Amino acid sequence: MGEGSNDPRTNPGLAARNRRTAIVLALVAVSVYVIFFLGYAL
Amino acid sequence: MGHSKTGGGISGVLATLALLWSQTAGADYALNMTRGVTELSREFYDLHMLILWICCAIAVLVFSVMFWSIFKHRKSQGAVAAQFHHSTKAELIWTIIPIIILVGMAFPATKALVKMESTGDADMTVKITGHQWKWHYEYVDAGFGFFSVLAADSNEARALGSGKNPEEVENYLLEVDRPLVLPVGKKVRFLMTANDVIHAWWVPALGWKRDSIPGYINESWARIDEPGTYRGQCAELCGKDHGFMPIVVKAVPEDEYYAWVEEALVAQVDASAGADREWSKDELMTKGEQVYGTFCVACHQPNGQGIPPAFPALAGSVIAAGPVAEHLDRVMNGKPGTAMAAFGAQLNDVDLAAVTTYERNAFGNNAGDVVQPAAIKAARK
Amino acid sequence: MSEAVMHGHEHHDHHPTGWKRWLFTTNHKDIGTLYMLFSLVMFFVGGAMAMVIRAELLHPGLQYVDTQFFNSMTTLHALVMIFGVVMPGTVGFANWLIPMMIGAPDMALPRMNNWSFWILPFAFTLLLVTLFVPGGGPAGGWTMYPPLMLQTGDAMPFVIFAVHFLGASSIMGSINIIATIFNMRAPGMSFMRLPLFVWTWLITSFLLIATIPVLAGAVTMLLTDKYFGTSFFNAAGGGDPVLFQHVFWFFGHPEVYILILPAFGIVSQILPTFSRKPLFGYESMVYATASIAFLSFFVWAHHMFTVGMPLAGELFFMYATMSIAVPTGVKVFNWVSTMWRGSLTFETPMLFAISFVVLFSIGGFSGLMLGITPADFQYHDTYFVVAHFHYVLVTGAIFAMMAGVYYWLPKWTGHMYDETLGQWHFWLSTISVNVLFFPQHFLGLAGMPRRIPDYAVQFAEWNFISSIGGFVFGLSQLLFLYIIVKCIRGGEKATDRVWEGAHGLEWTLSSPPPYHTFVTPPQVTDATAHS
Repeated sequence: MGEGSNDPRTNPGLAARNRRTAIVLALVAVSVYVIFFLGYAL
Repeated sequence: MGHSKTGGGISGVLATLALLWSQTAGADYALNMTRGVTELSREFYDLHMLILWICCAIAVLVFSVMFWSIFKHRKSQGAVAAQFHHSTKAELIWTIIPIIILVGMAFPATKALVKMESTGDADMTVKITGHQWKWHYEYVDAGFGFFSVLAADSNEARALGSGKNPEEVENYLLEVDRPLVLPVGKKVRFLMTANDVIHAWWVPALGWKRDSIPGYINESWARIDEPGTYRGQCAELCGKDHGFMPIVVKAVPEDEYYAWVEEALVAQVDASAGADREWSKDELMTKGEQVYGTFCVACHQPNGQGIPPAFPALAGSVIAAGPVAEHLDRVMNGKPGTAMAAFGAQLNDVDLAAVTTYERNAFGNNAGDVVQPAAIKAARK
Repeated sequence: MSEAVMHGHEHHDHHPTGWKRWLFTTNHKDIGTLYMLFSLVMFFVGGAMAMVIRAELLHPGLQYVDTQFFNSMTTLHALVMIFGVVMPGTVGFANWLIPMMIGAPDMALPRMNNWSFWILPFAFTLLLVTLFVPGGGPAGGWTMYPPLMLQTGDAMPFVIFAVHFLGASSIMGSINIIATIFNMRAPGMSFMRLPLFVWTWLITSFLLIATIPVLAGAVTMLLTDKYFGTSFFNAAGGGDPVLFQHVFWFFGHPEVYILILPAFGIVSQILPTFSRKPLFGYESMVYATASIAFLSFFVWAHHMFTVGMPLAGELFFMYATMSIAVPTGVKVFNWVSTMWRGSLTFETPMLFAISFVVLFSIGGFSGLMLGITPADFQYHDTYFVVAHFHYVLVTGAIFAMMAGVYYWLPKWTGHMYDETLGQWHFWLSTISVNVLFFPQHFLGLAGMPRRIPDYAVQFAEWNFISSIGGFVFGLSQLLFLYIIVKCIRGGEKATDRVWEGAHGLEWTLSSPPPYHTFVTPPQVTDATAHS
């Protein structure tokens, strides 16, 4: 629930927040992969 | 919006089901699990029926409430919607009651499971090895074993477009050349493993299935109460002929069992006889055709054409026409990563010599040479 | 109700037209449409494979296909239906509905959204061309158990890379959904005011992010075992074939809930609308969904009771599995209570939703039975299992999606679908699907293993009936296709609210909604929240 516009195209703060969320979640996914794959490989 | 015909439709479904059920008096419309012939199978069956009836009771209760709503609380009958949207009391009740029912189910289930896992103090042990696509049974105490494959008439009828009517084959797909013979009243411990891929050994009348897994040895047990023939199948997808590796257990009285063991031991000695002598080409070809029909035909086909590219043709194959040593290597050690198994450990010297000779001289192949059992013996070193 | 500002100004970005509109689109409605159409196409591809399977099983004996091809059909049917129909279909609903339901202008990451969709056609091309490579398609089952899977021919890398692509697509879709729900809600749209469909998708997205990488890891290990000489799963090289099953089902069981939770969400939107009564127990629905998702991580080995686990393991997984019946029961009881003392009408979406509740419950009951380990020693890998998962996936997930399509199609297209034909589609589907799958319970109990192309003659009667049901069910879906096409092309004009009892932000928009919605966020209050 951002202040002002709810559209990332006109609200750079919201756009940055979306990117941060995405990066964190992508890191979660990658670490699960690494844990399972490398965990067994090593 | 059209008015619904829910009532009529649901009774239509019920009528259809009733019609289906009424036909069960006729042909083979088996509906339920077998009760089986062992203590375990009966216990599992009773457990199955218990859960089934509990589920049916809950279903009747819940669906009755729902259908009461469907019939009584419809707008077309002037129903006015209430606006309640929660009730802590109701929600607690329908959380707690299921928990109590589940705990009630868990007790007999746990008891049965503990019994299933008690494989100790067995009277005898059978080692079962799954192969693509046949079973090998080894009587560990008596010291002999054999392969059990789909019966020839079923095998012929099951070919794509065979033109044979399965209805006319006795025990279609559930008959083998050599059944597993077991004594009644004895606790038999089964050890299960596999040679290539995962299989599962399942005879419903014994009450369970267990996976046979390469590199693993699984245990299970059965004490069969009644003499009879009990049929089952492989239950884990194991490749193209997964549906064609049945299991037949013949349970016989104890004395009959021991007589059968004696006979089997004599037959085993006969089978490996002759490994030291020279065989004629005709003898090898006759024997080879027989071995081929049991072990090779499923993939490489009766005419040796295979099913390329997964299962290569032997007719015109470079291996069957090439050096004997390479041919023997392929037959005895298989080809890793494919369905081609290593037959070196499965077959005796005579069988290996015969089948290799046969492959080199059948299907239009004309290597002309003969592979003697002695060559196998040498290759094994 | 704060009347939403709809178009007002036709925005600065003139989106491209023709095929470029679809290829380059970053609009959640366009991408939602693409996902739904893709799912519909795959429904017929996977359905055609099912028809091959049922045709071969119509009579005992092999009539039409060889056994290897039959195994490819069962394998690909499952992969197509799971990854090509149910997952993209529910993502399509999510794309269309989540922004409209929470008052957001679009998904949080629109360009990634485009990418998540356009990976799919490539992934399925890879998967389906395997039917034409030497050695034929993958035939080791969708569960891809080694060592059998390692016997696959040239199809193997295609399948594995297809799975990787599908996984990447799903993970990107999930990230997008979570970011949208976390960051883009309209003022006043607190978490406990989210429509239940949004809640189920939020939870589903977390499941996807936690489990898809596990699947990707497992299939990568298969790939290295086959081509790079590793021995993760090869007993002869010191590996462990059962390890794959543990890893696979650690993904696989949450996957089951990935497929069904959005369906729960759809049904939870529809039942209140046609009961003209709020959803019963909203909060307990949210908690039940979350508990099911949480528990799904601790029950994986109930798919492998017969591999020979230690007794303690078998007991643990049996108890954990049984415990899932509690939150699932709560959901069913809440749905029934939603209908109780409502003012019910029975338009097609409602019929499918009711059918879902009844038939999904039947699948739930057989699921509970399968969870009882000793009984599972008989049920496992038989047609009883086949009946079970088709009840939860066809009459569960697919029926809920059909309900959702009928429910929101007027909103999406601006036209009412043909109600008479919709009712015909419902009755044909519901009756035939039961003729198709109910006898499979009997077959399994009587001893018929699954994944066999041919069977002993005592199974002939029920297989015949099941196949007939299958053909009728398959043909009925052509009617579904016709109804959708007809609705897209025209029909009675839909009102904004469409259904008398509909609540929620998406119904405040026009039908069809303008290309950009909620550019100015609506204010949500208690009175306007909850459907």
